[in-house]
Amino acid sequence: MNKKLYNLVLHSRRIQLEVNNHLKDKKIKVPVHLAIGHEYVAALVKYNFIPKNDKIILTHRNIHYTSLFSKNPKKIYLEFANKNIDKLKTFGSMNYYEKNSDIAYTSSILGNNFSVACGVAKALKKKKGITICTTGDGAIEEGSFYESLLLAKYLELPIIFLIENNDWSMGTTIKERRSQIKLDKLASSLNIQYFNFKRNNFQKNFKTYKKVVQKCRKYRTPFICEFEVRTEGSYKKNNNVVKYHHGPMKLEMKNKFLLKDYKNDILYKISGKK
Amino acid sequence: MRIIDQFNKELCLKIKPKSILFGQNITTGSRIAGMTNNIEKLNNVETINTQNSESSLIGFGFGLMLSKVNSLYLAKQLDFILLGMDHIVNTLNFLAPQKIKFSFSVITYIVDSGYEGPQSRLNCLSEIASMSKSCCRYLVFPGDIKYSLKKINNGGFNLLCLSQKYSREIFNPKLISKDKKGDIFKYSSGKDYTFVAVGFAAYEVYKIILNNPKYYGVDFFVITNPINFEKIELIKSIKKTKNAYFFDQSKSELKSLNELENLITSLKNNIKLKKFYNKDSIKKLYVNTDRYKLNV
Repeated sequence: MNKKLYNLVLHSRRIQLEVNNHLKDKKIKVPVHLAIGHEYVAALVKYNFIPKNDKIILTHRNIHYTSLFSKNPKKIYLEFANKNIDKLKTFGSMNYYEKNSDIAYTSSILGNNFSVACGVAKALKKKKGITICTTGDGAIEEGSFYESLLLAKYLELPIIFLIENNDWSMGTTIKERRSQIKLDKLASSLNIQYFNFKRNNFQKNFKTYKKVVQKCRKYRTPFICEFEVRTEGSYKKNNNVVKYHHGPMKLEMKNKFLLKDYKNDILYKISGKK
Repeated sequence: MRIIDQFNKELCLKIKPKSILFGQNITTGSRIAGMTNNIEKLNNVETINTQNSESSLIGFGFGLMLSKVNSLYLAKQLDFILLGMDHIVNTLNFLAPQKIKFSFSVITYIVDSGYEGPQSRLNCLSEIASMSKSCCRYLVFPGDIKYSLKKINNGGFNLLCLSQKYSREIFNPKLISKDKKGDIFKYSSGKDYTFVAVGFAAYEVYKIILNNPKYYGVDFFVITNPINFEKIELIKSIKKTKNAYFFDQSKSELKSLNELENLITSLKNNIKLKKFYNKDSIKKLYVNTDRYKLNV
């Protein structure tokens, strides 16, 4: 596997584990949605990103991106430990803000960022850059997702709607809260190209995502990429599996960075070790 | 010239080059009842006739704003904008502290006709201004419209509203003065009465003034900012005339003049205060003048 990509995943993991320690120590007061297990998606985005040309729009679960796209994520996350939260310039984790960075906008409101991303993409339309709008399987249930797809296609905006599907929203799986959304068909109905990225197909994902980005740059039109991800930190409670949502994550570690169940850990898988 | 024509003329003059103008039917059909006539003829301005997705259109405008593009969303009615309240509250309050120099403005009509069912309930700009802490303004007479439209180039978010009921009528009172912030506009001077009209109540009040010699000596103020306007000039006038008439025909529970009313009451200075806070009460004053022919 590409070493640069692996290092990006490792870097994001390292920062998240540090933040998790602060969360466990109750030093950080604002809610932080960790994304251990999502790092490879953020690493792929970063790998194919052209700083200063491209813009990224984030959602509430964003630390895997901020750890890679922010100029000084450690400093900002430590600011969240500041007692005087009201005076923070960074607006908290879910509304992560850093002046002059490529993170154009972050929203804590589910589905709020799609249309803002369309505005950012419209401003980039005649320039070289593209916009990456990240979201999850919960936000695509919002009407704003459909509205923004329609708007992005109508205006032929250079934007990638990047959906991280962890089969979990707040406290429920997809089956527990809704019927299936066939994104490929939704995309096709709007004449937008859709790509699915299975969790274990790293080599294929690497090539496909690169191709999508190249197409988006060349044809200046929207794309949808759906990544299958597993948010680590699940635990058992009364014989039920409870998936992690936010706050400190209970993790059993094999070593400093690898999870105890390392064979299923994305960091291990992406390293290519057998 | 009708209010809407004055507005349209002024809008075309104020739009900055490289701006993006968007909205439903802005370059087709009725052009939002004349609001957007000729905008596609403006040089170096992009116009986009859009889909019906009000919430996303407002988010789109904020995305342009943070990407250093001035934009205007021209919409049919304020109740359409309700769908975008998430952006006007959440997105705006994320962007406001960043003090972005580019602007995004929404211009729309308020359904103030009073007979269009649930839509007319939203004749309450005060509540939206309060929730969003945004720059909300009534566009009333040509004098204040000219000034308020300057805001579309000042950076930040603006919500500017025209009257659906009166925008096709002709009014052109002479602007006498305005306050520094551009929240209060004075359209008549006198020493007998102080008339303070909030937003679109000004139209009926102006008709009353024109047609009743009793009110020729009136200080007539129009409030265009539904909340947080400067009150010094109003208090000066009221102390002088000792006869204050307050007019507000919005359906707002946050009455714009409540604070001023409290201030006046605390003055204990033999000031007579009459309130006309709905259409019927304003009409009563109007009925008393029906021996004079209306000719606005």
